[in-house]
Order: sequence, then C-alpha cells, then structure tokens
Amino acid sequence: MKDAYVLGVGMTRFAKRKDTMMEKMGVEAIREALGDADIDIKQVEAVYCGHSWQGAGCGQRIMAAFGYSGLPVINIENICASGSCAFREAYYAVAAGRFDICMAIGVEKMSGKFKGAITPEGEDLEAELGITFPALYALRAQRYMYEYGLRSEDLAKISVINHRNALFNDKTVFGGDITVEDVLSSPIICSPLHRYDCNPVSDGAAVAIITSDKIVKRLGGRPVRIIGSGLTSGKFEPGFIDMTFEDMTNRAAMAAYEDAGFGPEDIDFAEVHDCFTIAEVLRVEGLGLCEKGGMVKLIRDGEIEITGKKPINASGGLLGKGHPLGATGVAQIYEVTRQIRKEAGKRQIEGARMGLAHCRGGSVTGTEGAVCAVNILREK
Amino acid sequence: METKKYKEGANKELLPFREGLFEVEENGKGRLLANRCNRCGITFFPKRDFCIQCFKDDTIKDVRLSRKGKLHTFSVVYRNTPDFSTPYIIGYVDLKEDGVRIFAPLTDCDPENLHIGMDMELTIGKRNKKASDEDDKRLLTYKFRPVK
Repeated sequence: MKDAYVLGVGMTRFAKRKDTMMEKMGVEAIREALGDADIDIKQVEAVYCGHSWQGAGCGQRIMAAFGYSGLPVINIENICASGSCAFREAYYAVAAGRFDICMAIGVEKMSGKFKGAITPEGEDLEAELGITFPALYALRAQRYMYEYGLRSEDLAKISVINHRNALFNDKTVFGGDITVEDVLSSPIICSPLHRYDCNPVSDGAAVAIITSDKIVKRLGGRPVRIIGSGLTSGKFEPGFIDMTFEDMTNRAAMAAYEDAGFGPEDIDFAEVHDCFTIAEVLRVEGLGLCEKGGMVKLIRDGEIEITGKKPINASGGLLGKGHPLGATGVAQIYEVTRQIRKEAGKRQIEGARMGLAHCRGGSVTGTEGAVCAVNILREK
Repeated sequence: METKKYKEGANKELLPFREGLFEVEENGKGRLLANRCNRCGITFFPKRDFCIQCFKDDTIKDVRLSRKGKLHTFSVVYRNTPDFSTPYIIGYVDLKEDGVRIFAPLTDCDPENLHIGMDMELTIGKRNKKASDEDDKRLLTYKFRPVK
C-alpha cells in the first residue's frame, strides 16, 4: 500500500438549515476544501460521497450543483459512519494506486426529515416494541451506572465540556456555556438521559481531499498522513453480552491500530461518536483509550478536556455540533487535520500529533449495532 | 402453530402484533416461542431458520421459553415518540434457564420501584404503539411485570 494524505479539508457551519438545499451545502464544503488544498476541481479524479437519507445519486447531484461532472462518483450509505466510510474508500483507492487525488464528501440534511426520535429502519422488532435511538443508549447508561457507579452528574459533565469546546469552533452554532444543573434540569427524554445528553438536530457537509505521496511531493501544502482504518459490523449476540462494553468499537479500533502499526497508547486525541453522553463513555473505553470503567475517573478529574491527558471531542463532538449523519465522519477528519496542523485556535490541543476519528451507527435487532469505522491520522 | 385469540373487553378480539413470537395458553398466560440448536445449544428469540453458529438448517428445534427472569436494565421513555403513548417503560430481561435476553415493554409497575436484578414474569397485553387505523386488531404483545 502506498502512502496517502489529507491535503485539504472544508466544512459548512453545522446548524439547522431547513431552507438550504443539500447540494448547496456540499458545494460550500467542496469550495473550502479545494481552497485549503490549493488545487483545482479538475484535478479531482474520483468522488466518494457518504450520506444516509439524501436520496439516489446524492454525490452526482452535488457535483452537478458545483459545475463539474463526468468523473467516477460512488455514493456510500453506512448510517452514522457513511462519511467515515466515504473517507476510508477514498483513502484505500489512493493507497492502492488507483487514483492520485480523490475527494470524500460527507453530507446530510436532517431538518424536516424526522418527527421525534429516530428509530431503527422498517419492521425492526425492538422498534415495534418501543425502542428508539435515545432509548438504546439510555438502557446501556442505566446498566453502566449500576456496574461502575457513574452518576447523572458525570454524564452531564461530558455535555458541559463538549458544548464549551464547541464555543471555540466557528464550524458550529451549538456551542454554549451550559452547566451540569442546566443539563440535569433539561427535560428527560428517556431515563437517565436528558435533552442535553442528546445531540441536537443539525445539517451540514464536510469534504476532505485525499492525495498520494507523488502529489504531496509536487504540490507541498500542509498534508496530514492517513495511517490506518478499521471497519466492522455488529456481531450477533445470543446470550448475555456485556452491555457496558462496545465490542464493535473495540474490533474496529483494533483493526485500525493494526493497519496503522500503532496502539491506543500512541493516540494523542480523538474525535469520538458522542451522539449521547453515555456514548462517549462507552466508546473511549471501547477504543482502548482507557480501561473498562476508567471513564468515571477521567471525567471527574477533567482529563477529557482539551487541556487534559485524553482530550476527547475538542471540536465539540456531536453534542456540540449536532450530527448530520453522513457529514459527521468527514467533519471529524476536518478537526483531526486542523489539530495536527496546529490550526485549531482556542481549541488547540498541545502535542496533537496522532489523532483518531471514530463513528458508530445503526441498530439491527439481534446484533450489537450496524457499523463502526475508525480512521487514524498523524503528522507527516 | 395456531395462536389463540385473546379476548379483551366485550367481544373484542385482539391479535398478536406479529405472528410467531408468542402464544396465549388456555389460562390466558403467555409463552414466548423460540428455537434452539441441538448441536451447540444456542437459543434464538425470535426464531431463526438455521443456527447462526453451526449454519445447518436441520439442527434447530422449537422450544417455549420460561416465563420468569431477572431485570438486566430498563428505561422510562418520556417524549419524542409520536407513534407511542408516553410515558412507557422498556427493558431487557434475562431468562437464565434458557440463556436468552429478551427486550420487552414493562408493565404493572411504578418506575420508582423498579431496580436492576428484580424478578420479572411474562404477561400479555395491549401494545403501546398507536394503531395505524381504527380496525387494526394487531395490538397484542408480550410484556414483563414484576413478580408479586
């Protein structure tokens, strides 16, 4: 496999944008990424577009709106990890020597699509009996609290930290100086999760330009190296599985670490799929960034803050940016890239050299979940 | 397997919301319908066509699950579910003898009195999901309630 790099990134400001066409958001992000990479659209050889609900031919519609078409475009649907997978496929295409310059787009317009909480697709049995995505996480939260003594205040602190990080991020409108009391007094969605334990509805697009070593040698710029990727689907779970541990996240992470030739101890910071506060707890542990049950102490000691030993979601995460499904994975790449380049301003993590981006999504009755993708980047 | 119709109220016959998951016995009590692999012993609820470990379709036989289990976790759902009347309670119950964990609505209890590890028993009742139309009789489901 050849070396591959992120040469440019761009994203829209994540917000509710009911009156903006999805294609327009895609075009905004493309323009910014091309400018950041300092390349012309005509140099892009293939497009990988990740989304879940934008309809057929999403990537082609965005390219037509941009005004450049005729090149290979592939659309990728993998629920919350659609963008991560679009990025992964672009990475592998360049690493395999198929293309020298690819574009990964992640996009989702959520506004106006759902009434109430999102539920699993179609006639999923658990959905028929009342499960929703918040409820899935609430059930795990209750069990984790029972086994490890985690309290609602600890979960609330994750929301506080991520909302505060988002205040320093011009790519989101959802940042805020909220307190633990604000979280705990927000309406309960499903016990123990309150409204502020859940990510807000948001629309957006993010783009990464991925290139080969040959291009980096020729153009220079500020490339960040892509060193590993892992992808899993949820295993069947007959019997009594451990609801406090995300096996799927763990397997995707181990695959990515092996691909990269590094381990969790080498990761300086991570963008982790915090669709709900409890999700951040489960995933930091699943990624091997601390031992099982270890998040209780990391939260209470402030180690997950930007200034802590294990900075998580300096961008604000999903709690602080919202979660336009397909866009999130590539938005994480945007953040990891800016951090490694030391361009994160007030969000800058000291010593950010190797960063991890993690997305996990979906629910399929009988399995642990639908998909988990992990991508790892480091300074060149 | 013929599923007995459960009579609720005056002349009102309700049907299971989905076939093949449970049956109602003569005494009105419910039973979950599962199957089990002869070779490796894994139990499947809902039933599967073949064992996902052995991948052979002649090793599976029907079983009926025990009615009692322990509450593994639960949550009270308060809002954001337009298809369901809120609040409602859901949870996972472990049927230790059968080696299966069941997701189900929880009923006949005050959330304040629920705790992980409680003894629960199977019951049958009207589902919480709003009927798609007035004539929809597919409203019966299995639930768990605390053992009295």
